[in-house]
Amino acid sequence: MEQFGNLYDIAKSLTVLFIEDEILTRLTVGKKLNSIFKQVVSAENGIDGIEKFRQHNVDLVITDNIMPGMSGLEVIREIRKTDLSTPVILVTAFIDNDILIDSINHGVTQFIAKPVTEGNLLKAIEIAVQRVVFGNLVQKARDQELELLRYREKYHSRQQEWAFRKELNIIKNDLFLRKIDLTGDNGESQEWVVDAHYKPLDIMSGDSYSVRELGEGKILLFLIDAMGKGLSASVTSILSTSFANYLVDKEKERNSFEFTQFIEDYTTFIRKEILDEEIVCATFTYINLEDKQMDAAIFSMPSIIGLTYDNQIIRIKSNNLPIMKSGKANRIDRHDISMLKKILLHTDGLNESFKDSNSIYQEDLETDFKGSSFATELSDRFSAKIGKPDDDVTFFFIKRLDCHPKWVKTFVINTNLEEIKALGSKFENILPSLGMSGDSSVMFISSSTEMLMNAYEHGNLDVDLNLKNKLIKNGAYEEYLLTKEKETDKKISVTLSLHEENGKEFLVLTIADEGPGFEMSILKEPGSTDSRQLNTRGIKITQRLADGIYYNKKGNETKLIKEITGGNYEN
Amino acid sequence: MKIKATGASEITVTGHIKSIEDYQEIKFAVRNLIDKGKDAVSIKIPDSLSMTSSVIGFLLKLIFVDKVKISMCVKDERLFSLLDVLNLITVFNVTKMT
Repeated sequence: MEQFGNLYDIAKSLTVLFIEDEILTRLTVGKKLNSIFKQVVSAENGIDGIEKFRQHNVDLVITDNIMPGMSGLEVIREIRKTDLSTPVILVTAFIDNDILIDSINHGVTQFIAKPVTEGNLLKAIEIAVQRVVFGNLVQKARDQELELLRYREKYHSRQQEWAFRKELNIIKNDLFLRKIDLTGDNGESQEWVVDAHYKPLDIMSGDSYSVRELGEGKILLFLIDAMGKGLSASVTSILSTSFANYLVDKEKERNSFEFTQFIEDYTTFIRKEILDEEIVCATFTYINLEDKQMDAAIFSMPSIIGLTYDNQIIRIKSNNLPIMKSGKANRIDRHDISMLKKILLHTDGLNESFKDSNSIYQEDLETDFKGSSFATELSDRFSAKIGKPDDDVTFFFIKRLDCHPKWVKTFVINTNLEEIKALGSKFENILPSLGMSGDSSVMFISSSTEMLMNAYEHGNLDVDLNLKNKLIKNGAYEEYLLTKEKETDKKISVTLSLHEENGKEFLVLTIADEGPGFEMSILKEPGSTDSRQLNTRGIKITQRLADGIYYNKKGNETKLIKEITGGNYEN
Repeated sequence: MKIKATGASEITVTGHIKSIEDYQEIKFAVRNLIDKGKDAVSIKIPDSLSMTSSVIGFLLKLIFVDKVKISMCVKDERLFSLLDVLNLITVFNVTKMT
């Protein structure tokens, strides 16, 4: 083997299985093999050979063909049932065409004529070892490729996760879980809510949005839909949102927001950044709920839909072409929204999603919007008809909450765990008389438990999330609360009211504490889904159980809304 | 809601887990098993569609601080979905009841 260079070294790391029934040949050839290979496993017949092949990690098989019981060819057939790559050398005194063809078909690497000479043996081994080396190299390359793929997949998955977190960080929603409290001209209190629904198709999406609060009852809403697919559209969309939010933050600092200038600054910026063939569709609205006016600059987006108090649908169409590199001046129109109780702004992923091959959701959108009391309900109706949309779906559902209950009951309790428990029991007794039972009742009670506990611990007892986490870890949480509650005379005010809308009845629970206010932004932080975190789940649970949950600006009053019949439960 | 011991280290919670009292009863029952030397507790929940955050916090404390192994078998798809959204399926070893 010396003349075969480093094949000798390679053979020194291999195991050979030698199957030979003749003792003398087995010993003499076996001795030679021992000087070449790391390990020689000898078998005295075919059956023994197969067993030893299965027991040892064999790199090469050398087998005699004519053996009692099981021939070498039969051994090879058996081996090939589970192993297609191990080289096999067949030793035979004679060979006819049938055996030759059968041998080749079963992957015999080499033949050695009997009687075995050292020269023939070494030549056959050389070729077989080369095949082992080649096979190992191929396997190694495959393993490396697989490892690389795994690494790439892991890398890309992590990249996407980071990118999505970044995207969510750029999107701003100043009214997340918030309601806007206003006092009307006649002294009547008004409550408005803006629910943002954002379901991107890919992690890096062509849709983006923000909800910005600019003053009492003054809100800026924008939806960006960069045309095209994939990363390019996503970059434009996120760039747009990021810059628009930067402008808003600057103007908020200066207390000088001016919608016309904002639109001018944004469009000038994005026209500079987009490519010749790119377009950006967008809806920008500046709503003044006190003055009941809405300024809108709509760049080739689906119409804004409004529902009047007498249940008429109104549509506000686009007043601008899409934003292009070579754009013209922007148009802004002012609309009177005093007659509107609900407003829907959306991207085309909502109205243009296919129900089937012949129809799109546009046909149902206005009816479903009319009949939906909250964004979750519209989303459920859309999902029931569309299933999985083929585009990003983003919409804002703006509505004025009903302030004229059919029935009201007010409770004022002390900051006391036993009084909270007693109030929960009272609710359980009251609900059946209001027509609420079954799952709907369970969801309402569960949600009210969470919100009452929030008012108690985070509100009046002023326990922040870090302190709560620490106290739970130490097993001292309840003891701490029971001690703290003795030190305060703060009250929790609770109002349970019954409302009717669209022929449906809703229970509304308003809980007000005298604490510093709950900070909702913590729920948007990435760590809030960490399973090791011992708290911060109450509001998330409530969001799933109730139809609506809204805090006031300070964060010390929460309104929980649940439809009396049916379960608007998001699965 | 009712709690029944259904094994040496297993409890079955029937009805819905929705109030502060429910949390206190579950806490008492699980604590009782741990005080008897059990370091693994199995909780069967055949009815409830939800779970209060206080129960979740208590069980997480047992897992991460007291090193108690918790496993949970739930029937209601809505509870399973809630635990999934809260990223708790693995931590609570949640399986679906057939």
